[in-house]
Amino acid sequence: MTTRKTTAAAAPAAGKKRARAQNEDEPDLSSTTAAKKARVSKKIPATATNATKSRGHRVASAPASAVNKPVEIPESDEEPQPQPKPLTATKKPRQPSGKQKTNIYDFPASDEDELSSAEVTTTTTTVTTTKRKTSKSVTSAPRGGKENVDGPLAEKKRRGRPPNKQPKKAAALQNGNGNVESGADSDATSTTAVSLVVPKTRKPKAVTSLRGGEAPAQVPKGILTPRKGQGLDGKRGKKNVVFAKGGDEDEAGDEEGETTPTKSRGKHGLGPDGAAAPEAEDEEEEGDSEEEEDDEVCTVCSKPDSKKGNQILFCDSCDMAVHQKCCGVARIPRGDWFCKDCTEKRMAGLLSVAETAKDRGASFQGKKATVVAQVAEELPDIPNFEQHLRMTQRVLLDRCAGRRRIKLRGQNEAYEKTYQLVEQTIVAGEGNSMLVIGARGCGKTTLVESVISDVSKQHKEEFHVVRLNGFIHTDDKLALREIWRQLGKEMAVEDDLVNKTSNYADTMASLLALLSHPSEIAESHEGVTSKSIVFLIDEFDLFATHARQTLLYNLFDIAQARKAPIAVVGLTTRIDVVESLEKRVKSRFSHRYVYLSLPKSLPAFWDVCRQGLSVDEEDMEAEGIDETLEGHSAFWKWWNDRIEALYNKDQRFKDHLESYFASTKSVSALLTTCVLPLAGLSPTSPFLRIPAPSTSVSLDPPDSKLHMLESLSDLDLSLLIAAARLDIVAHTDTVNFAMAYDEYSSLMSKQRVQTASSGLLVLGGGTRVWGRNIAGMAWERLVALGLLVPAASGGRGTAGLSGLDSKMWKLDVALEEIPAAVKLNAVLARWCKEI
Amino acid sequence: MTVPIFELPDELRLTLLAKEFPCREPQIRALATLLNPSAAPCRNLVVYGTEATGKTAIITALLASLDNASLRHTIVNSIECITARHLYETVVGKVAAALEWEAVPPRCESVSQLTVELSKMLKYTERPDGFRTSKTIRDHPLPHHPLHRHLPTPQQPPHHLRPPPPLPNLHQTRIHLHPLPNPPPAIPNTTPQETLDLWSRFVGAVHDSLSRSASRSLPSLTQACSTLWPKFILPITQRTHTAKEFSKLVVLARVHFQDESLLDPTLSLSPPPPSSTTTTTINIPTAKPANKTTDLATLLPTTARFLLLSAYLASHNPTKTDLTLFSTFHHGRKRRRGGFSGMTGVTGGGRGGSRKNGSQHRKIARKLLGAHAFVLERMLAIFAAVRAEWDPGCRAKIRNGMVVNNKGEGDGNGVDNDIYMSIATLASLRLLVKVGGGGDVCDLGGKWRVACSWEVVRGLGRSVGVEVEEWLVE
Repeated sequence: MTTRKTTAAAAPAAGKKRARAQNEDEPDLSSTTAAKKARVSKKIPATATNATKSRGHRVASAPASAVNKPVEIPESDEEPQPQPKPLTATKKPRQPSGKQKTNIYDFPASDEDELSSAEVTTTTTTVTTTKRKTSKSVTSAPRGGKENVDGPLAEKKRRGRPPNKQPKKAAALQNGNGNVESGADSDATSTTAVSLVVPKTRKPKAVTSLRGGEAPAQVPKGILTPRKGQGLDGKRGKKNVVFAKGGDEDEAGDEEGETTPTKSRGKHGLGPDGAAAPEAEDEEEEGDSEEEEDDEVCTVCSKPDSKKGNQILFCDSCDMAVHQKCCGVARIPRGDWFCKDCTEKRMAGLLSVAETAKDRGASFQGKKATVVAQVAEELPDIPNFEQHLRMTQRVLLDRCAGRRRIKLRGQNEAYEKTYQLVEQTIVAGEGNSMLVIGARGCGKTTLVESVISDVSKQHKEEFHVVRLNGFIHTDDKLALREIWRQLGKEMAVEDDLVNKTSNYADTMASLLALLSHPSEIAESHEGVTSKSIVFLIDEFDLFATHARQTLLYNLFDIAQARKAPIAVVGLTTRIDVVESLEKRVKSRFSHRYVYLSLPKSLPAFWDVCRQGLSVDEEDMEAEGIDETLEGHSAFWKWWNDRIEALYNKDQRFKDHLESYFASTKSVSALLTTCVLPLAGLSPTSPFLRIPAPSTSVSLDPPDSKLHMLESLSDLDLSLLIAAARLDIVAHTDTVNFAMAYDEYSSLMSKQRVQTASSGLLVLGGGTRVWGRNIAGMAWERLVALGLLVPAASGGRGTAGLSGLDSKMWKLDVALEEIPAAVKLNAVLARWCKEI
Repeated sequence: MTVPIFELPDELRLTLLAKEFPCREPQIRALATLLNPSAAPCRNLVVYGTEATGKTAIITALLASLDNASLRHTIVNSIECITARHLYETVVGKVAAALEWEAVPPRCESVSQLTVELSKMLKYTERPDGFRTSKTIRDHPLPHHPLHRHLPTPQQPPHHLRPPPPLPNLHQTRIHLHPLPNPPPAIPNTTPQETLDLWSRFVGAVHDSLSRSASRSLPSLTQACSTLWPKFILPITQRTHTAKEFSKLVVLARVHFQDESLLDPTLSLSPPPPSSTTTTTINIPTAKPANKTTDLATLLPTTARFLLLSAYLASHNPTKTDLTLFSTFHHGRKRRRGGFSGMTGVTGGGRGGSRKNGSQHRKIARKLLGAHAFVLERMLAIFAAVRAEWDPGCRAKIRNGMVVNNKGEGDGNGVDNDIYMSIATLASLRLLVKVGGGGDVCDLGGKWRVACSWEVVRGLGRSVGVEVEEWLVE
């Protein structure tokens, strides 16, 4: 892996940089040419796929193309050759997939030649180029994903890259092409903006080709100048030739050398080769200073200047800009350079060079890969895209937030059974009763409500629904009143009647009469009696706790005796609910049950959850989505593909899903986590990322009280620790304030002795002993936060009159948990450790 | 049919809010998304965080800024509602007010009625003006508020409990940025700019010395700052220093920075007026009203003090040691005071006991465990035993609850020596507390407990020349 060529990792990064540099340097290269190149390079990857070397990277290459797109946008305006397509953004993304055709149109034949030749001649080079792309994509990916604004991005990149250019120039100088180069520079300044975007991917290639032609044996340096001289015409053909000759090696070397100053991916992995790099450095610096000044400032000293020997370096992973001196880099490394943080991260992941290469492409610590994959997707070119997206968001957010019902999945049997029961009640006038039993969140209400709504499609006017809830209707009286109300009686009218017990009985009686003898009372309540009634009783088990279960008895009695066509459907979570029914009630119950279960497998779980992220074809109309809008099918195809990809390819999402499946199987909890990501989608970044990055606000409930420790003051913490220590030291499970304060002050006095002896007392602060009153306030705060819970032990302390001192409390936190939950100062940390 | 389209809340308003509440931008954005009817309105939401982190302020401001025809809001503070019914009716009333509902809100006694009334107002109504309502009720319940025990069961089964964006407490670094509510008026003979600079550094210093270490909330910081500020700038107003000499000023004001009474509400509220006379019924030479401890000592008559001390001893000494401690009868064992060396090493310091040999765990000083209950008779016995020693001048005896002079009954001394009266006084001052209901106060078998702390008792003891420590077993 040490050789560059093979190490895809190194190459890509280098290529990227160089590409950028070239763009700026070569004014001649119009954007169009650049575009061509880009296309070529992209195409090449595709062709090169066969090549054994860069399997892993290829995967990543696709993302890269997407990444490039945003960068390019700003510059498109400036491009000398007007391009047919209005939206650069859309255009770009397409290019990779769209292949040469578009390119061909734009450009003369030369491009094609190049392409073909490149393919034929050198597979290896192509590989490297692709790799470069990938690497670049990786770096830029995070940014692209986050920032919707393309402009800033592009600028940033431009700024960031300058160093790259210079290396090349330097190289050119060395070769002796100095004069040419200067010319190039001037050009570059004029056209920099234009060319920036384009070059990235294809640059490397061009460079290599040029180089090969002019200074084959020598290292990369001279490349730039000659090319410039060649201008538009010459380079193409030569390039191809060059490749064939063995530009590969040179190329790799060059790239590394050049790339180093700015961004280099895998310094570690790549390092070994280039001897040429050091020489180049000196000269690079000259060039750098001019350009860098205006752009990037050092993050340490926040000065923009970059001089020889103290250049500004750019981390290849996070793009952080630092002076050499500020970060202690004596020499600019040849390969990629990473800031400290990134280095640490990488080191964890990198065991060998081979791995590095892979990391770059596909599985860079898992995360990157996913990022890349996501960003990789291009903005789809779909008419009315924004409108589609907004409508989708509306529907999905309503579903995720529980404002629209999602379809029942995998419960067909239960559904059929329930549907049949309800329908028979309505159509055949049967009296029925049934229990729907299942855990929370398994879809009982959804089942019943969808049955009702389906039935009402056919038999709209033929039945009433009465909905009762055990949580709300806490006794039979209330429930009865509610039944009356829902059956069309005005509650206000009933108020007087129902408040007196006798009238309660009357109500019951009249209700019973109403239900049991439809024909007799028909004249007064035609509307009601002629129809069936479906009773939906939520939290059915709570009705069983009502006195004598009068309501249930009567309802079941009516249902069983066929006095009236009613269906009683009870919903409950308790599987043994029948046991709680009285004998006379039980005997009137039909003993029909429907059991619902939570999804039994991950795919089943996903099948349910999917509803929150996608809309099925048959539901479009019901959800009010306008299917006639142009681009409907394209959009949904795109969207569903994305969702499928999320499930199939995105490891983070899979983990997320699995954790919910393993812990709660709660669909609503999972959908809740989708709310904010869904709400965050916009036409410029319509890529769903679930779970949301950890920096954003999470809607999860806190795991424990430990998160509150952060907001405690030192004194609060000291008391807490003192109390927790007592648990261990004195072996008591309860503490009172006197004990805790005593422990606190003794710890403090020990601390003071120690610090005094070591002369640290001067520092003060940590050793201040707070008085009893203040500590008392702190203690009360701990109580208010619930970190101390009252010990229920009888006897002393519970009388409430004994004051703060002696009331006994239990600690809700263990001593071991404290250091883990909050960052403690040295003193407190010691108290936690040393018992 | 057209679908209402997803829209994010107005950017401008959010930016303004975010400026008003620094360091809360992500939370504000999330909340706005979750509250705005055109974004991702949720059915319920719990916002949590420790006190003074801006929950109420942000929610209120956000709702006010979002309020329009499609989102009405009302704020119900459940702490202010005493009973469940009170809560229900408040909710109904406020919702009606927010909707400009014409009808008089009816009585509302149960959850069932509440749902009926709310659905009447919110669900079934077709307003003539096509007004669509959605309701946001914000409750700020204390988690253990009794109201929630009144509620029959969790009202909404938790399937859409939308857990909250956490509001982390202000971080130390951030607090400096936080616009403190009271930018001070410019100090005389300095420019406003200098004052501002000084103020910000001053706030930093106050935060470091007081807030971070002892009381970490914005209100307490504000209060401490406003209290300290006049003292801090005193040298400037007296023209001995200028506003630029910050470190010198800090040194000068160090005493104040170390004064923890700033954080102690009890003391900061009552600066002791030196000559205030105590308005007690008991006639006492008004000594210097120093602190509470001596106050109590001076307020109580001698007998009551002795009683309180003996009550303390009774509360804190195990019964089995009484004989050793108080009996003057020579029973062959040595009378011990000041602790049993075998059991405990130190009595004085904060740490009650040293390790017993063999036992792994430290013993907790008995006095830290709080007062134990004792039988009144025992306390009287201790009082009788100890009195002679503590008060040698008094050679009275106790008989029938009355202190009787040796020389004979009816002799002058008996007047204020009524022990029961003293006990009643102590009980009415809550220094002695009767344990367990019922029973006569005079019942010798009744159980009592002393309810004053060690510090008080020590001071009290010293006021009558008794070192209470010597009489405690540990």
